[in-house]
Parts: sequence; C-alpha cells; structure tokens
Amino acid sequence: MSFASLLGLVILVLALAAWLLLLWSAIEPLLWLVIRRIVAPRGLVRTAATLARLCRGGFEHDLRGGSALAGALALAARGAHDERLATWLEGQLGKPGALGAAGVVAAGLIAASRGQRDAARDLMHNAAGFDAERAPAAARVVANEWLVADAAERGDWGTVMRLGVRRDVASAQTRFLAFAAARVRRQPLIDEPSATDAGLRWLWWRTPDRGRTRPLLLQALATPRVMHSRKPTPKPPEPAPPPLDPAEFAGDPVAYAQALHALWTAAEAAWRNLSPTHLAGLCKAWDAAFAGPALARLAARVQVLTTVTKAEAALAQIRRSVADDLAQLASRAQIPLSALTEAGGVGAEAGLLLRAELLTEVEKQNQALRLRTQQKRKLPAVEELREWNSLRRAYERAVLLGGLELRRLMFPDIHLHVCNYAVWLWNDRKEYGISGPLFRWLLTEAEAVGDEEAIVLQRKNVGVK
Amino acid sequence: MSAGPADPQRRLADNPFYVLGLRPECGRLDVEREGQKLLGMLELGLKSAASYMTPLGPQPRSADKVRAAMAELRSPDRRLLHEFWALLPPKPEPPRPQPPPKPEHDLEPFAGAFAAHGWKRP
Amino acid sequence: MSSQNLVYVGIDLGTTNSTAAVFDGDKVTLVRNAQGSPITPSVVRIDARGNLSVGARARRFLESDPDNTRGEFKRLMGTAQALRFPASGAEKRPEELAAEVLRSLRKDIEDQLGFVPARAVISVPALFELPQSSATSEAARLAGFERVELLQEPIASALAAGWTIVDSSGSWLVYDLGGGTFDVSLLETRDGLLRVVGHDGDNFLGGRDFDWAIVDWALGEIERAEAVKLSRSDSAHAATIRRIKLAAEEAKIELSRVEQTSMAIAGLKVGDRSFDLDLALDRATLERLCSPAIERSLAVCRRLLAAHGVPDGGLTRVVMVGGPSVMPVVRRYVSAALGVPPTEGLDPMTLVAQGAAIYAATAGLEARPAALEPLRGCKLWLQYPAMSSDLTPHVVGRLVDRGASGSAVATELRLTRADGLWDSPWISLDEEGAFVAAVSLLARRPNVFRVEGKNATGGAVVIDPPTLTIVQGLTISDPPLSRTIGVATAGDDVRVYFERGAPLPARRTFTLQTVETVAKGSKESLIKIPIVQGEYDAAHLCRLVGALEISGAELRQTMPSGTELELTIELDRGGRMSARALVPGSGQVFEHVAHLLVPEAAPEVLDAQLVAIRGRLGELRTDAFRRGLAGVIDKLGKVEAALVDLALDVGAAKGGDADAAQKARRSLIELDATLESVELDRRWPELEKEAREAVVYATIVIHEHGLAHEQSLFAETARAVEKARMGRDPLELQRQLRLLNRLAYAAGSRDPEVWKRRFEHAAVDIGNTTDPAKAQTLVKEGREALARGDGEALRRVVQKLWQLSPGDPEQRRLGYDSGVR
Repeated sequence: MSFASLLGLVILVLALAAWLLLLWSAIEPLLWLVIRRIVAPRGLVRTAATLARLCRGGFEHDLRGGSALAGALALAARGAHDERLATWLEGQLGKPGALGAAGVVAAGLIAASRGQRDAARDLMHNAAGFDAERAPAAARVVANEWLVADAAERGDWGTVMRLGVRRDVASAQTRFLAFAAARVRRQPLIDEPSATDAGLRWLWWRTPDRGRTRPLLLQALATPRVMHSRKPTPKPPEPAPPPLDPAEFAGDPVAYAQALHALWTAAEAAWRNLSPTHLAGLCKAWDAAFAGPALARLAARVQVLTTVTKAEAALAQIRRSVADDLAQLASRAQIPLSALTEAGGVGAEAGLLLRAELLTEVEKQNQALRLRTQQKRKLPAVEELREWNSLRRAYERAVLLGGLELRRLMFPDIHLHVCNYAVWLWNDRKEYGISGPLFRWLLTEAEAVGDEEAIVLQRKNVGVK
Repeated sequence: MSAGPADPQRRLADNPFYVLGLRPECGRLDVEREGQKLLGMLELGLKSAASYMTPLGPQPRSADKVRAAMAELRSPDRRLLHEFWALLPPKPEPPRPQPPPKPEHDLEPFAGAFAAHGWKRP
Repeated sequence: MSSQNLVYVGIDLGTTNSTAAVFDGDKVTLVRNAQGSPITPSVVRIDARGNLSVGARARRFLESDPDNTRGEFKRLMGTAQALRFPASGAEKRPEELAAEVLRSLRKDIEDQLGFVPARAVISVPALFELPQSSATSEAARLAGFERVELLQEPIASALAAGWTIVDSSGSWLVYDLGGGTFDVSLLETRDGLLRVVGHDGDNFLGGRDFDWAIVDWALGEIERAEAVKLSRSDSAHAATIRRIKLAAEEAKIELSRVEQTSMAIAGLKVGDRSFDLDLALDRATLERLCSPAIERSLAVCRRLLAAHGVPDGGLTRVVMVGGPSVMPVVRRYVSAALGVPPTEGLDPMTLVAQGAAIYAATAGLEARPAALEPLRGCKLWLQYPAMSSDLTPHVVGRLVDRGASGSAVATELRLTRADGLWDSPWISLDEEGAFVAAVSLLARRPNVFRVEGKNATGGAVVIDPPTLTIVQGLTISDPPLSRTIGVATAGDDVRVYFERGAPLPARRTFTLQTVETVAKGSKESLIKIPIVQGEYDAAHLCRLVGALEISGAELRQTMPSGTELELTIELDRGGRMSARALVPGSGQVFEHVAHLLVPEAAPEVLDAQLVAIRGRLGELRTDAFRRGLAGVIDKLGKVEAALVDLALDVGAAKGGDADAAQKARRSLIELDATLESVELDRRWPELEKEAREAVVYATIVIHEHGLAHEQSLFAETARAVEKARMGRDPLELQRQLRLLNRLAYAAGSRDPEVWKRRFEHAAVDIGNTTDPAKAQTLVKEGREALARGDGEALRRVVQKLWQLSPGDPEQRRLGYDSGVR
C-alpha cells in the first residue's frame, strides 16, 4: 500500500470520525427525548439508565444522577413497583460523589413508586431549590411535571395553575393542565393571558397522552372564555347538615358544649370546615359549661360513686382533656395559635398546650440534627435531604400556626444547629447541592425575624458561591 | 407516668356506656350483667351484639372493647369521667353523611394526572 | 362444660412454702402431700447421684448440705441466674426449680382427685413484673400444665376471705407479710364484686427481717459473752451464721405460743475457736427486735390508705396472710394501728391457694381435661359466667348446627333450676338460632340448670349439654396488670401502653416515629424499641422488660428518620407479652422481642453505682447547705439513711447473696429517682438566677449596641422572660433565654471588646474540647490576632473553638438507647 493511499485512508477515517462526531452532537440532544418518550414508558429501567449515561450535554456535572433519573422514570412507568429495581437504582445513587438535582428527582420518583407520596413531594421541591449549575433543565422539568400531576390528582388546581406555567420548567403537559384549569375555574393565570380555543387545542395536541387529557379539553372548551378584569368571588360552600344538632341541647350548657365538641372533633373530617370563629364559639361554650354547671353535675355524681376523687379534681381532668382536644383540633384545621389564646379560658389553656407541642417537635428534631452533626454521623445524601425536610416541615408548621412570635423564638436555636449542619455538608462532604439551599433558607428566615448577626453571616455563606 | 391525650374522635365513640348500651345512671351490677351478656353474644357471633349506638351513629363492637369498658366502669374515679362524656343520648338512626356541595366553577381532581405522563403510579 | 364434679385448682407458689387447693363450687379443700401436710416447702435438692427431691424431704438438708439444696428461688424468677448443684454437677434455672415444686403439687392433686389436673390458677406477688410472671408461666408449662392463669396474691387472699365471710361489703386491707416480701392491698367489695383499689408494698421486708434482727442481736450477745466478732459480710462466717439464723427462726416460731424460749446450738465454729450458743429469748425482747420492721410495714399501710383517701377507721376488715403474720406481736401492732382487729378464722398459710382455686372458677378454668363425649341430641353452644356475683346473670346460647331442620332441632328452650323453684318461660330461638335468657341464682352456692327443648311441633327435644352450672359468689372478672407498661422514647419519656390496673388480656397499637435513619443492609444501624414497666415518668427509672430490635440487615428498604412504625403490644392473661412492629410504608413486620429478663446485678456494678450515688449525694448536700434549702436537705437526709441499708445489701451481695443483690439494684433505682427530683428542685433557682443575669447583661449591651428593631424585640422578650419566670415554666424560660441571649450576642458582637472576652473564655476550656490539639493551635492563632488587633480573625478563631466543644448524647443513653419517639 502506498503512502498516498495510506494518507487517503487516514483522512477518510478522520473525516468519518468527524462526521460521526458531528452527527452525534446533532442527535445527542434527541437522546433524552428518546429515553423519555420511547425507552422509559416501556419500563426498561436498566436500559434507560445506561442510555442516559451518553447524555453528556444534558447532565454534564451529574451523569450518575441523570442515569438514575432515566431509570426512575422507567420505574415509574412500570405497572407495579419493583423493589429489586428500586434498590438497584438507589445503589447507583448511593455511589460516592455529591448529590445533584437529577439524583434528587430520581430519589423522589423512587419514593413515589414506593407510595411515599409526601416524601416524594418534598424531594421534588428540594430539586427546585438547587442552583442551576447542579440542576439540569431536564431534571427540573420532570420535577415540575410530577408536582403538577400530583396537585392535579389531589384536585389542588391552584397549585397546578401556579406551577404549570412556571418559566423554564413548564412543559406542554403542565401548560395544558394550567390553561385548561384556568378556563374551567374562570380564574386568571399569573402573567399569562387566558388561552383561546385554538390555543387550548394546540397545547392539548402537544400532550403526550391525548386520550387521557381529552375530557379535560372538552370541559375547558365547553366553558366560555372570560377576560379577567376582576377576581372572581368564590362562593362559600353550603354547610352540610350536621350529624348532631347542638341546638337541641341549648338548655343545658354542659350538654350543649359536648354536642358542639362532638360535632367538631368526632364527626368525620368536620375539622375541614372549622373557622377561627367556630373555634371561638366552641371555647365559649366550654367556658360556660365550666363556669359552674359541670362542677355541679360532677359533685352530684361524686356523692353517689366515690369517696376518693374530689369533684374539682375530676373537673380539672376533664378540662385538661377538653384543652387537649381543642389544641388538636386547631392544629388539624391550621387555625392560628392566637385564635386560641385570644379566646381566653379553656381556649388559652389549649393554646399553651399546642404552643408547647409545636416547639417541642422542632426542638427534638433540631437536637437530633445537632447531635448527628457533632458526632459526624453521615447519612446517604438523599436521606440527609429527607431529614432536613422533616425538620423544616416541623418548623414551618410552627410558624404557620404560631406566627412571628414562635418564629423568633425558634430561630436562634435553629440557626445555630442548621448552620453548623450546612457547614458540615459544605466543607467536609461537598454536598453543595443540599447545603446551598440551606444557607438561602437560613438567610430568608434571618431576614424574617430581623436577626442582624445571622443576616450578615448567611449573606456571606450565600455569597460564597 | 401519664397516658398521652386520648384521640378526641374516639372519646365519644368508645365511651364505655355506649359500648355496653347503658346510660350513666345504671348500677354497678348492670355493668357486669350487660358486659357478661355481650361477651357471650360476641363469642357466639350474634349479629345483634355486633354494633352499638352513639350520638354520632353506630360503631362496631368487639370483645376487647366490652372488656375494657367493664374495667373502666368498675373504677368509680374513671366511671365519673366517662359519665360526664356520656351525657348525650345515643342516636337510633345513623346520620347520613352529606357530600359537601361543589362550588360552581370547579374541577374534579384529575385521577389520570400521573398516567397522562406515562407514570402508571402512584 | 360438664355439670358434675366441677373441680378448680389453685396453687400458691410461695417463696418458702407452696400450697394447692381445690374448689368444687361449694367449698374449698386443701390438697395434702405425701407427708399429710397441706404445706410443701419450696425447696429442691439434687444429691450426688442426681436424685431429685422436693418439699419437706429436701428441706431437711437445707442446713447440712446447703449447696445442693435450694430454697427461695422464687426471688430469682425471671433472672438468667442458674443455680448450681455441685454434688451432681446439675445446673437449673429458677423456673426449672419452680417447675419441680409444681410437679410435686400436681402429683399430690392427682393422688387426691384421681386425675391429673390440666389447668390451674397460680398466684404471684402483686408487684411481680413481666419477666417474673412469664417465668412463672414457663414453670407451669414445664410442670405439665396445659393452661394456667396468674392471679395476684392479695386478690386471691381477699377472694378466699370474701368467700368465707357472709357480709363482705366495705373496704378491706390485705396485709401479706411473707418470708421476704411485704404486700399490702386495699380492696373494696360492693354488690358482690371485688375490686382492687390499690397496692403498695416493700419488696424486701418480711419475716426474714425478724430473723436477721434476732441474728444481729445474737451476734451482739456472742461478741459480749465470747469476745468473738462474727460478720454477715464475711463469707468465712456464712456457715455459722446460717446455723444461728435457723435457730432464730425456730425461736421466733416458738415464741408465738410461749412467753420465753432459748436458742441453743452446740459446737459453733469461728476460725479455730469452738463454742456453744445458749441464749434466752423472751417475747418482750422479740417485740423490741421486730418492732422496727413492723413499723415499716405499718408505714406502708398508712401510705396506701392516705393515697386512696381512706379516713381513719374507714376500714371494715383486715385480712392477714403469710407465716410471720401469725406472730401475736404483729397482729397486735396491726390492730392498734389500723383500728380494726384482723379477721379471725382464716388460715394465713393457705388463704392464697384457696383464693386461687376460687378464682379458677371465675375464670372458667376447669382442672379436668375436657372429655370427649359422644354427641347426642340437639347441640347447643352456651355462654355464661362460670361464677357470678350477679343474682340474675344472662345465659346466651346458639344452635351449633343452624342449618339443620326436623324434629330433632329445638325451636324453643327453657331453663329450670335443679331445685325446681325457678324456671324460665319458653324462649323462642331467633333467626340466628340464638337466645338470651336471664336466670335466677341462689346465693353463695353452685346452681345447676336443666336445659329443655321443644321442636316446631311442640315435641320434646334432647339438648346437649343437658345442664349448666353457675356458682354464685364474690367475683373478680379480669386479672389486672400490676405495673404500667410502655415504650421508652428517645427523649427518656415513656409512651404508656397499659396503665396499672388495666384488665388482661390487653392489646394496643400506637404509631411511633423513628429518630434515626436505618440504612438497608447495614448491620451497624439498628433501631431499638425498649419496652419498660414501672410508674415513673422518666424511662430510665422504669424497668426494662424487653426490647424489639429492627436491624438494617433485615430491612427490605432504608427507613428514613421519622418513619412511622405501628407498634402493637399484647399481654395475655398470664402476663406474657408479645410485641410486633409494622412498617406501614413497606409492609414489613418485626416480631422478635429480645431478652425478657430481670437484669443481672453484678456486685462490682452495684458497688460502682453505690459510689456514684454517694458522690452525687455529697455534691447535692454541699450545694443545698450552701444555699440553705431546707426541703432539699430533708429529702437528702432520707436518701442518706437508705444508703446505710443499701451498703449492707451490697456487702451481702459480695458475699454471694443473689437476693440481696436484687434488692440493692432496686433500691439504687429508687434512690436515683429521689436524687433526680432533688435536682429538679434545685435547677429552678439556678435557672432563675441565670435569667436575671441575662436580662441585666442584655439590657446593657442592647442599649449600647442594639439596632432599633432589636431594642423593641428585646423589650418584648424581657417581658416574656418575666412571664415564664412567674409561671415557673423551665422549658419556656429556657426558650426565651435563648432568644434573649441571641439578641444580646448579636448586639454584643458589634463591640470588639466582647470578642476578646469570648476568646479568653473559650481559651480556658480547651481541655474539654473534642480535639484539644486543634484547639491549642486555634488559641495560638487567636493570641496572634489579638496582638495584631485583628478583630475579624479573632472572631473566626472563637467560632471555630466553639465548634469543638463537646455535646452530650446523655439523654438518649438514659432512655435505654431508644430509637423511637
């Protein structure tokens, strides 16, 4: 073979390689689409995971997470949960290296596949909080799609309308759901005009499973399009007839209080309709009962029954259980602590109980976090996220019910331990994806309670990146 | 040592007086007599003993519940409290749970939301 | 259940003696052993050839061959301690020895009744805990009983007494002074129903305290007369002391009948000296020696009565049980102190067994194994109380074969009492083939009813069973739980499952949450769910009776912290416990309950604990004196007095007395609880002082360096601190203080001087940091920064130093390392 022909061959090979490379860079972005639309829906977990390893462009910093995400998407598409595959995917995720958003979304899908819906929701929200560089668009889109589907399935259309059109992460599917919901509910979307019939059809046409979304399209088209000039006033729901009518017992303050109490605490899901006014009414009814009639009733029975218990002691016990119930009721119905405290009497007692419960829950979890940070007991990164989610949920619940007062009260301790924890994750463990949002959260909280020292520190921590 | 707060939903539903089908004025022997009878009937699987009435409708009755109710009412101190919470008369008719009326412009939850994404579950 | 020859068996498995009794629905008969005595000593002997003997025959060797003859093993029930018989080389667990005693009693019953009893009721002390109860059940199983139920001794005594006494209503006290334990129970009878109002007792007070008081007196006398010093904690003297103790026991029993007796033992040896003992002992001396122990028992009685609001003279009856309660001095003291003479005509030695037999009737535990009888007539399934306090109880019944029809099937039924003086109307069976009928009983005797049937055409139908028997008398229906059972949580709290007095059987499920993540497949990660028994709020003061463990190795999937677990605990009527944990998320179930034993009490451990408790007492006392806290000093004085006894027990434990070791272990827990409450009393003033100082400091710094919004927040917080202080709420005060300190810290941090002080403060403490070497380097850096006047660097150093300060995993360790909350 002559030199020239050898050279020619080399040039040919090089050209072929260059051409292949070009071809690859052209089709690589399509690969993710192939995985999502063709491989994953068939439930091919390992295939999807392996193919995703080739998506270098999409998951530059987090190939492992991307691969797990593809696998988890396939897992979710399978008819029944397969724990063996889930475990395998978790194993892929658990390999050393920092956790990225794709991995978090994968963990969320795995949790959802196991039926742990709340945990899955938290993880999807976590993924949304990651910095853009650690959160590939594909992962954020999946997280958003899941959250929208979750909200739609629960009938939480307000969330669908909010998340469905979120910039950068909205997909055809989520946009269709948001626009259709807005049309049917005659409510505006944030920063979006209401869709025309043609617009709705176009959005629907682009959804992956048109068969399933068709009824929604038809319902939306059947609703006339309104231009939103004012906020619609939602009609208050008609109260259902109560299973028990307290008015029957109006003559007896004790029986009346009990009937009202039973109505709100014992009747199935009655608390959903409980308003602060209702709660105040219940507290007032009990205060009237406790003002004298209850003690008289007990004293009469004590004489017949026992020499040991004093009527006052029995009343105190009953009062305590009433306060317990009221606290539980307020907590379930998410009525602010202040409503109880302001009611006075037994309501105020309930308020104190609820306040202590909210604080204790946060303090316990915070202490556990402190101990773990101090002893440097590591958990797999996803578990770290879950543990933090649990503390944050307890804290946010206390803030929701207790307002600024509890927020201020809890913050010093929370700040101290969560900050140490975040520093540990950042410095020793390089879990930037997890700890970055922690610092941002601490900063938001510090600003909310006006803790100057913490604000300065967290600004620095957030700014470090 | 103290037991945690009782479930308010069960406070009324599991009140020993309702479980035994007795009113607070009954005597101590009535508690034993009714309890024994109900335990016997439950052991034989008789339908007439399978449920009891409360102010909020019927509840299933079990031997465990009956035994616990008898024990609770034997202690005068505990009985005093249960008497207090058994003030309302049990209702003979089960209440009909009314579905809450739908607001005018609203959407049903979308049961197929996950499936529409190709996710078979949750 | 056959109507003829009902037989119910009750057994009192005692520490020193055991007794069996049978009840036929009418009267109770004691079972006599081969020696003709109703009382069988709870003593087992295994000789060199491996022959096993029980009872009086074994007891004879207790003195001459104590190593191969074992008594009082009941006190070790539920411990892992095996007892050795060196001559034969055999080793037996306490429940195996108890089984030997039960087997011997079972044989005696067989000899008397002509059949082997399959079911029985066995009595246990009121304060037995789960491990001890389950060991007792195990002993019965080993002895060959098919089914047993356990009944607390005071209830048994009261049942037996109530059966004997015609008018039994009112409040009763059962004063049960045994060989080594004292139990007192307050019971109440109304409408023929017996109810336990409350228990109290001293697990380590009994006839043996009288014996030891006599022994100590004798040792003093010996020392005076012979100039020989004998010590109970010297194992070299053990044999001699044992002989003196036996003599003391005999003298004590003798003095119940006569005014004066003598303790005479020939040839006592101490070292190489030998001498004869001959001491005269009279009732007056005995009274003087025993009165402290009796007073202790009376104090327990008074405490129980006060706790349940029984006024002076409010008792209608006192029943005395147990060998030592025969002593005239005890009866006199009790009668004087409680204002009621002890009920006469009851045998204190066998009352418990009699009550157990009567209870067997209440529980429907017929001793005879069910005989297979050929089916004849129309088969009926009947439910009725075997024993009833009610004069008109219900009988419930149902046809076994409901689908059948024809002339052999009854459609109407009638019950007729055997005396012919009462019959029910004809009752039609309902669509379920069932009926409910009230019957009328004659008081305090077995009532037999004939069951008659009619078919649809009015023809007579033979009913199987043809008769039923209900005994009328004092009853108690379900055995109550003696001590509260719950789960220890990570916060050292107890989640209560069953409160004391809850009826058995019982089952309850609660949802708990894990506090730590357990990784799948990891052998190291483990969630422990400790199950405890006791009446304290703090888990570590309660007795650990079992633990459920969930190891990562068994998990199908990782369990994140906060995972919900549904933990079910179940207790059967015999006090046996089972637990299961369900993880609803994965559907996995864990059922393996680890060790259900009374913890060992190793003498070295006891000794160490004794030293620790002394140290803690000393600290608390110094502090209390310094601050003049009279109430605290008082409480500590009591602890100090108890420590004297405790030290004696620990001494005896070192000498090999396993019983004293258990006693010491319990006392240690109780003293610990007392000291804990003292510390709580003490902590408040400390916290208050801290609060005052914090407010003063914060006022100054915030005034000088605080921003406007900090100033207003401070005013608010200071008010909240004051409110928490007024309300004496330590938790809330700590929270507000944290907020206050945080404000002061933020304001103070704007002052460079403050950082210098913080640095000096942290620099002093480097010895206590987690990494002293690193701390050393940091302090050096800090000094340099200080010299340079670099405030920012100094501040960084201080913050790093703070991160090195140790925390304490103390609390979780206290809660038995619980992994749930």
